[in-house]
Amino acid sequence: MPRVLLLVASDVDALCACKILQALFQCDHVQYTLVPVSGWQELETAFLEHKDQFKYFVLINCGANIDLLEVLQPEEDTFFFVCDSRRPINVVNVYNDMQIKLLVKPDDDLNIPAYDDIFRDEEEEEEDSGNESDGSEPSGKRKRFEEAVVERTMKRRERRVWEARRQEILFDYEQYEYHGTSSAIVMFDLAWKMSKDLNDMLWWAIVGLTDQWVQDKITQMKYVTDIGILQRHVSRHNHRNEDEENSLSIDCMRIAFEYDLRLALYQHWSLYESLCNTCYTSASLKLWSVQGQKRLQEFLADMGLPLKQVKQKFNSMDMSLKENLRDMIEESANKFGMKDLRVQTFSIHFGFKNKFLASDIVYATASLMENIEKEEPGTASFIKALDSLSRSNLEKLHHGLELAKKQLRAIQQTVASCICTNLVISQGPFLYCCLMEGTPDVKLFSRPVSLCLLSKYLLKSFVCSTKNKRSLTKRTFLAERLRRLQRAHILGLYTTILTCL
Amino acid sequence: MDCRVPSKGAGAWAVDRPIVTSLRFCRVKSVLAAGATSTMSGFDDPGIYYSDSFGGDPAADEGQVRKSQLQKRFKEFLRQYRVGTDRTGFTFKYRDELKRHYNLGQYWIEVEMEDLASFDEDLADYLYKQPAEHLQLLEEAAKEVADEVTRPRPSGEETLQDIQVMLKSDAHAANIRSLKSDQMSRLVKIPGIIIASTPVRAKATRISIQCRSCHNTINNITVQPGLEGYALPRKCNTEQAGRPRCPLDPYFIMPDKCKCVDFQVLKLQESPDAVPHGEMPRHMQLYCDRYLCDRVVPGNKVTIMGIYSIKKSGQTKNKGRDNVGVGIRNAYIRVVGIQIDTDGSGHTFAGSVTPQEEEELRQLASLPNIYETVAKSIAPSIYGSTDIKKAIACLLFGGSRKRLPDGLTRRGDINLLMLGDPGTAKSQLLKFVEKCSPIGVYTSGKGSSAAGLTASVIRDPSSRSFFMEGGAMVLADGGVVCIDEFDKMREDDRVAIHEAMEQQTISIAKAGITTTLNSRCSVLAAANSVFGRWDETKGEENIDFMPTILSRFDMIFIVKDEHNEERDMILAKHVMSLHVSALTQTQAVEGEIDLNKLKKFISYCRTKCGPRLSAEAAEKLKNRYVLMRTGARQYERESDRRSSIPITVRQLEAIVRIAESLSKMKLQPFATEADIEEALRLFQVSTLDAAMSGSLSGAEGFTTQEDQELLSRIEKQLKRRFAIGSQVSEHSIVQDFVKQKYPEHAIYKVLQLMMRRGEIQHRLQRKVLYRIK
Repeated sequence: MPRVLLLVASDVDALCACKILQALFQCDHVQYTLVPVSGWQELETAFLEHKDQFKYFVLINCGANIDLLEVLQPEEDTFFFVCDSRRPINVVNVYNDMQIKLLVKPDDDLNIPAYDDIFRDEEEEEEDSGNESDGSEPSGKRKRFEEAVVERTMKRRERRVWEARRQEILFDYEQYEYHGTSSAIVMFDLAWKMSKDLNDMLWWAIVGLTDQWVQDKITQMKYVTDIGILQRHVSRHNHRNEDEENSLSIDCMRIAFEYDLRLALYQHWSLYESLCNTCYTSASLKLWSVQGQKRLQEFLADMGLPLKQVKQKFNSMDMSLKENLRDMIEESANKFGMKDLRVQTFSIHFGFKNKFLASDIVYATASLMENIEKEEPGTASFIKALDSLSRSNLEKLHHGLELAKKQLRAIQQTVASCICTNLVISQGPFLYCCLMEGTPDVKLFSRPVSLCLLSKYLLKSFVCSTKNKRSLTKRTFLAERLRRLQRAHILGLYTTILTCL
Repeated sequence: MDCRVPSKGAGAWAVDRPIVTSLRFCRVKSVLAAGATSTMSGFDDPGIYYSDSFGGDPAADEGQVRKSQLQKRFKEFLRQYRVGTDRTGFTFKYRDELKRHYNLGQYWIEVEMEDLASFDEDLADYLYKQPAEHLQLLEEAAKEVADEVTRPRPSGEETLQDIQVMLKSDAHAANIRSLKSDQMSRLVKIPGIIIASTPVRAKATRISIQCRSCHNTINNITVQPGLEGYALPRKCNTEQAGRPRCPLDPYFIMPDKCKCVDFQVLKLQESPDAVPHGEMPRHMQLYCDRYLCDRVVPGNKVTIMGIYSIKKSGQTKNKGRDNVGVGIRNAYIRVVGIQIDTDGSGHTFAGSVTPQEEEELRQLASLPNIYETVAKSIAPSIYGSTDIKKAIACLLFGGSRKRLPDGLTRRGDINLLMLGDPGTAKSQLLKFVEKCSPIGVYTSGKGSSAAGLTASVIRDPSSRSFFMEGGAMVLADGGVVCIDEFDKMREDDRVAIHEAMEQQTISIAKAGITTTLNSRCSVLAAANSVFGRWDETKGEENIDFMPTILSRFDMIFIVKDEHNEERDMILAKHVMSLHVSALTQTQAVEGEIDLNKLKKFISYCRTKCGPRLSAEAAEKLKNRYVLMRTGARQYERESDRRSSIPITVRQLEAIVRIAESLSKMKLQPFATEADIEEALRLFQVSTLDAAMSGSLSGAEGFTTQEDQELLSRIEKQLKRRFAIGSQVSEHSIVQDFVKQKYPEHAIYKVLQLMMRRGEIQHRLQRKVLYRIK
């Protein structure tokens, strides 16, 4: 059986999809090699390095939106299987049915332009040119010549119109970048259809979806829809726990649907820290100002939570307070204008002590992947992040949680200082902000996911801070210069601010 | 006893509770019932005696039932709690630990509150809110589990021991200041420093008392745990016909029928960083019992879990006059768990080393450049001074202490003196060593007295008897004493540590106490020149130390603040970057060991390794020693004067110690030739260079015989010509001797020496010398 090369992008969704695929490969005894890639450059080099040994390439969360055949120049007998949540998919990839196979859910709304609108058979054109050359020869018959000329001009005009239309269609198609169904869900669907789905795989699919939501890659609507789909699977897999008689042992893994708070990591942190460092609450309460801090105190007082308990670790908080904490917080949050503090999500529970929300895992894995503490090659932290997803590596996961806390704190501080010192500058249709080099946390933002999170937080906070509603349609543009890498990470966020309100 | 169980109600209870446990709590009422019925009814009453074993009185027994249920739940927790996943396998944390501890004869177990909360949140909540009752249940449960897991026990050990349960929590600690009355009798977690401890004493948990007139005994009276005592009954209740009533306060305790536990009272002080500006730290009394005794010593930084309790305030003087103070109580904490913080300075034992850590440390030791790495990790924020750092590394690891067949010991600790200009980071190095050494004591010369450094005898205010209290050098036994401003110390105080430095003991004969204390510690001292800055022109005058103390230091470094543009540039850059990146840099730089690991490594090496010189190394050192001496002789012959730097046996020992410490870093059993080479180099750059600059010639062994003869000749001549009571101008004396071809520095030295001995004195603005004796 031929070996397969797995090219996996560095984001949590891709990791989860990769995890599911690895499990499937293990079932079928397929040999594979895993190569993490981050960016097109790395994709190309990885391909060049391995193209002699492999015929089958699986691309996860990379490659769909570039013309793979043109960029990679593969041999005829090389096959690509692309599972990418990024949209729009390059039309060449869509219509190449020989070498490139796309894994897309059928109900995804892709809006791909029709084949005839963007492609013409090359032969026809060649024929045309052949005709042209024929026509240019003096054949003698004038009438026929005229006809030919008319036909040719007609054809040319038709062609020009077609070209213009093609441009337009392609422009419309490629104008906005967005994300489709998460790769992890696609992979899980695959496993399900093969009847090889496991509870673990389902959990990875959930984490993949949650990653998209945490990073704001998909709309709330899409998130809720996908959650609904996954919930069916969850209840299919975890129904055995409901009745008393054949309940599972506590050591088994159970996934449960939760309508939980969207406070980041609060079960592993203190409620106070979590409130302060979650984008949603800190932006709504405007925590960077003195007024905001007062508002937070009011909010806590409204819930009737003593400060001492709120600052205590969540695990060690007073039981009586924890009992109906969620309802209490939701009720008070409504008063403070935070309408959707609770979201639909899932939790995993195994053993006595290990209970995690899907977003906890996302934060932990992402920060493990972008760990800057040690100067290691990118693959090491990638593997570490991959390991943390499986349940047997709890230590790594806990380490990841600590890193995630650090990261969230850093983001919060940076956002606060940017807004307080008016560093966010409005420039035409864009907002931009430059981070000073040498500030303590700037090193944390040298990786794409962290930078992306930072800019989204900054954007949301800025929207809340500004009174000028006109700026609501602007976009942020965040640049951070990395001295060591001698290149600038420039990140444009092509989401209008309206969507995040 | 005849127990007849009424059928009603019994069936209902028996269904959901195992009979075995509930029978333990059956209350026997027959005696009382019999007494009541026999007095009331006539002779025809058949007398139904029964014991209602399933709680005939539901209101009174509800607590009992609830307790037994809770205890069952606790037992389930201890038996069933497991960690791990189905992939990694499970370990039954508490069950296994209980078994292990029990088999080792350690009858205690540590329970994490978080584990308990994840098993059953209510149990943890009960334990938080009413710890006093529920901890007892947990201990009972632990005892039962221990019984199950250790059965069958070997013969002779059948009786089950009580198990002590200690608690541990991951929660954020509260502050002593924040403990308010609403926390009373709850579980609290508090950080602090232990500043005082009493000796371990015994406290009865169950006592038997006897009436002294009627010899009636009452057995097994439970005494509340904690500092609360037990008030003996004032009256004897037994009434026997034909005997006079027993007098008031008839009971006494029968000590041989009491069960006792160890207990100790500690004093906890707030940690310094929690004290608000301008306030004094607050204290809290701690009560520890059983296995918690002697876990900590004064100086340890700890985090304690305990029950915030109250006790009767101390005896008031005007007792009985007014009882307004009835409800006023003093707070103390009944400790149920102690965690020792290993970071920070002072008495912070690194604790036990886990096998993984041991593996890691061994790997570290096997690095080829471990010596450089360790030296680099010593105070990484200080630029340069590589040789001093290397010497400090040697001092931290130390040589091997040897016990000779005749019972005498040779010290293995390395003493180090740094002399030099201000602003050369000497104190910083000292502070670092204090933090990094397993036991470190930092004192400043001016602030420490002889008694404070060695030992003092003080009178106990309560018992009015004398007892000893160890000083800095006793407290640092097995570690390092850092003495800053060594030159500012009074000469008498400095003399006090002579014995400690070479013999490593401190002998005391004061106030009826004659004893010898151990002080096996290294001394790291820092001093300035006499003139504040090092005066190149003055040479040896810079140092104002007795040769006796100088000779006790293995290595002496002279740190000079040299002016060198290139070096200054680098230094300035280094200092700037330190100030700029003080916040951002928290992680250890590549190639360095972080402080905690270094500390662990040092204490590990010190305990695990005691290297000796290998035969080849000894041979090499011997040859080098001979070569140096002969080489020196040759050099002397050539230059026609004796070198002022001979290598004596004392220095030879120092080199051996340094070489041993170098091999200790590598965890090798024998010091190799390379170690000897490096030790010689270190000795060369430190003491020899210092001696070379002419500054140590006052020290013993650094003045050659010829110099000595020269000096004594000058002195003799001077004394002959300079009568007592006369005064001569200094200039004329010097001129006179110079004319006689005596070297000028020798003349000054003689004058200096005589002045030190108090034989001559300067008069009239140091122009004229006056001979006193």
